[in-house]
Amino acid sequence: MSETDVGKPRREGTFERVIVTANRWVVIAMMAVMTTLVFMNVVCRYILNFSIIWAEEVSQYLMVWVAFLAAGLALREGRHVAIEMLQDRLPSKARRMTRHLVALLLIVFMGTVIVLGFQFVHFAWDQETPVLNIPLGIPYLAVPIGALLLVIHLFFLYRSYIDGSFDVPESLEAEIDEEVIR
Amino acid sequence: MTVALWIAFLAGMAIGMPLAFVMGGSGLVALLVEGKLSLLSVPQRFFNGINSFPLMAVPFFILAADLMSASAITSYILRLANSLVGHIRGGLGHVTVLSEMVFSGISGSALADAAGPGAVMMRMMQRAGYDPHYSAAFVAATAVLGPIIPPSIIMIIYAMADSRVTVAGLFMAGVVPGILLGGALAVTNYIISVRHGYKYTSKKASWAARLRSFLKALPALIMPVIIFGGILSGTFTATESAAVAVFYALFVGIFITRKLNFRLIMKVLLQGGLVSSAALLIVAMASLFSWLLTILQIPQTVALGIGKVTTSPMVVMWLVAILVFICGCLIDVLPAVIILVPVLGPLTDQFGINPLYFAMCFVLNISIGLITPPVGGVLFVITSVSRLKFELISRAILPMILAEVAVLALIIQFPALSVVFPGWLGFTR
Repeated sequence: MSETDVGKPRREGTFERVIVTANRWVVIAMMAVMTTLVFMNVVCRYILNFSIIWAEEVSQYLMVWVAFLAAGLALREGRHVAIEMLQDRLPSKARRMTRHLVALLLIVFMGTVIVLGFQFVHFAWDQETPVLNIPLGIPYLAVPIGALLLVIHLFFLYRSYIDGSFDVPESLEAEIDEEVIR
Repeated sequence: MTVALWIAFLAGMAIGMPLAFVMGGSGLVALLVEGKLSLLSVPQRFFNGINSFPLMAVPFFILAADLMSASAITSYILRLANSLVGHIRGGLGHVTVLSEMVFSGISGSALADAAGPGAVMMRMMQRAGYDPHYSAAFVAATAVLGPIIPPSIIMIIYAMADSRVTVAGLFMAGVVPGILLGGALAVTNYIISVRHGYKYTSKKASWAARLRSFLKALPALIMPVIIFGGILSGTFTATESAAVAVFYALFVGIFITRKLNFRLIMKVLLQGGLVSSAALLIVAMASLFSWLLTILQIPQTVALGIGKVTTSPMVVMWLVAILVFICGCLIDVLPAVIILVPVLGPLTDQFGINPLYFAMCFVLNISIGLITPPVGGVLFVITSVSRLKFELISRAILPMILAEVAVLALIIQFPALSVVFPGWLGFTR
């Protein structure tokens, strides 16, 4: 890639947009359901005097799923903390080489996690979860699927990752009136 | 295997690999080198490392704080703080401390506090004529209050890593140190303002005006009351209180400030998911790492080594404090908690140290690490927000680091400061 391409916004393909949008909605839905479940359980316990016995287990698994399924999206926005002090001191060519190396290692590591993750799912399939009594392998799927998604996202944003430029999300902060104090 | 683990760990950090993956990856490398343990431990540790109900408080507190800031509650808190302490010499600095103490009671993360309300305060201080580097440094230093005044994400993760303490107990232990820390920062700001001739910034507000701004900020002030009231009365656990806080924040944003709409709520949920994921992934992968440390009997070796040097609990506390402080300068807070706690926590049993007191000293110490160069999460945030030079902010922050270390020394020297208040409320661990 030529130097002039650096810093240009990357064009997203249709396939990429579909994956990103779907991934986002899945994360949103899981966050919403897990929060509501825990809240409803408190409400039920105190107002209606009964507990949703499966609420704890399900919400807990949902959190693990969010952690792994959102990892790729977090990578897109550069949210995985890394210490890049040494990298920043390198000349630009060496710096890009280092980032190639990091990306490559990430792919190899995640590739291994995908394989091991599916093996573990297979291994745990005969066991059951404590409350729902579904195969324990189902919640465990979070690990390999999350790793797979992360690799897919990394392929999509490979070139920007090498440049160190990430998607910048809009700020959530409501307009703060900065003239509060005169 | 030990050597492989550390080489992979240091090499990964050096080339700038994201921390979570450094810990997971070096764990995998160590397992491959060892060759006898099952590689299936890798996905198993990743999953079980975060499959925990107490840990769910992390995403919930992140959501609650995000909803509050999306509801425009921030400016009400700033206004209230200004009407109360804005007239004292160094006014805006004191406003920063007081409002951060309130924000800390809502959010559990120093990084979020620094990036949100902290950045606003910094710009206001700079416009009022404070030295730009001092403004940035001071705001960064006050963000340390975030993980000390409950709720606190670092405390939740500490309690995950060490079953000798509970989240609720640790939350209560943070109250007195948090107030001391706020006081120490205000005093530092006062001294520096006198020296540099920073003037008053606002007129003394009348009590009527103070009451008005208090009423405006009330919806935000009720949030900590719900969280604490709920935990203290035994009505709900820390995690449940966090979930209740989310729905309370939703209620405030929709019906009281009326800033929240469907689109904004979806964005908060998404962003909360991503921020939580980044934090939880570190916990998940570090749990493989810390499990390997236990297998390698590193905690026992450390305890044995310290046992040879001294038998006095206080000397142990100071040795640990120095070690943790150095680690806090060099590594990020979350990995530090998950790597160090399983190693150092067992020391409390061997030397008869109160685990809650130990935990409080550890959390305060490692939180100061957020503002110590070369690796300080809050320093990085403030550097990027202020567009000033990292080196210059790091120099300007030295007096505040000293003030915070002085508070740490007090907390270490007088265990009562951290254990009496929770004990009084019935939390012994």
